[in-house]
Amino acid sequence: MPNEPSNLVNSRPPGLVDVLDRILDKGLVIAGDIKISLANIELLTLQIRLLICSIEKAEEIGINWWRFDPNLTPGAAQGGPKQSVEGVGPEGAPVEAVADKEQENKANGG
Amino acid sequence: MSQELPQKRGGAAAAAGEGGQERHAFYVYGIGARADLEPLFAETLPEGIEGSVPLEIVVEGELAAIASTVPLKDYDEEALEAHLADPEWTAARAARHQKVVAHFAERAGIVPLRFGTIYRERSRIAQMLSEKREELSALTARVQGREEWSLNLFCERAKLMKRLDSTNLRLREASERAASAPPGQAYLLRKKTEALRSAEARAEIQRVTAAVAEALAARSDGAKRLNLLRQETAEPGELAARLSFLVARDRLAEFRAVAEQLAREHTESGFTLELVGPWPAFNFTDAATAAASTDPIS
Repeated sequence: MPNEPSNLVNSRPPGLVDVLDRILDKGLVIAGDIKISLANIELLTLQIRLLICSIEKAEEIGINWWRFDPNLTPGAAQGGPKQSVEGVGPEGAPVEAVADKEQENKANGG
Repeated sequence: MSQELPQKRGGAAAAAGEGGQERHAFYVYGIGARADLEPLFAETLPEGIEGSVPLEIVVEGELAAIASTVPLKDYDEEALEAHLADPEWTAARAARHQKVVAHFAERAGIVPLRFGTIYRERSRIAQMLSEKREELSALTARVQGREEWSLNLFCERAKLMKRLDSTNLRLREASERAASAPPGQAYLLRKKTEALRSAEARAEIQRVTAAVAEALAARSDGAKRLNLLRQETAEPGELAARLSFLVARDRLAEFRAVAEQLAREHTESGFTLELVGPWPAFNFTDAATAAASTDPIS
């Protein structure tokens, strides 16, 4: 690590994983007239990540908006798509439960 | 009373109408205060989920929803289910949904809806706004003048270990004992020291996460701990925690300064803080958080 004053990184254009996690899985849930089930968000997210491994593909689908939308990415031009798409590898990992609730199961039957 | 409907389509007629006109449903992106949203429709808007179809506003009382028509042939239950299994189809629409919500969220308080909220009639949206008026008004008020910022906490393990080796007394003692022990015993002691190192590292990560969460929660109006997702490569270490905060725009500088301060404090232990945003308030839209001022991160 270079000896910078601090390790605060600013990511204005959010990465793809963050974006998908929010749009597909967060936000207010209101039951509309048409029932949809995004049964397996993790799987879907993984599939999408695999799909847009290449910048070209991402552009084709239009999911590279962070590069062009000046509202989302002021000065988007210099940053380039590197940080967002390049590293999306096939190793998409499952969501891990956060709270490591280390449940200390007291010995049963005691 | 809802706004007058230009072309009232009966539910049955819309569903059964054949030939001629294409039948439509109404896709909803987000909800906000009518007074805030209406002026935005006089300006340039992003494209809707179906690209060429423009966004429209549906108003009811003080509330308004951002919507656009979608072809029923693609958005009726069966068709939609088939489409959603196609990652390419879904990705493109998710991207446009995000674009729309982000556009409005940067300009007004917006309650973003989960992907795929669809009504058969425009009038049904107004009805929903009316039925959920209380909840929606509370949520709209909550996001007013605020935006969501996420914080990713990364930990470079090697650096943390090095730091612990030099600062952690128990660890130093243990390794000194191992170093001075006779060969046979030293092996076991080294193993024990390793186990202790891992435990201390875990504890340190938890301690730093809690400290960061607490300090930033105090500068925001809502805090949440998010699930860990495997991120992209080229990250500064492993992802130790993902937090999200609802930050008032006029306190953003303060919030950021505290993040900066925290980053400085924990740099030597191998921690990197990444601020991601601003987001529409995706993680602060459930009724429970609307009621509680700040839900504690546990």
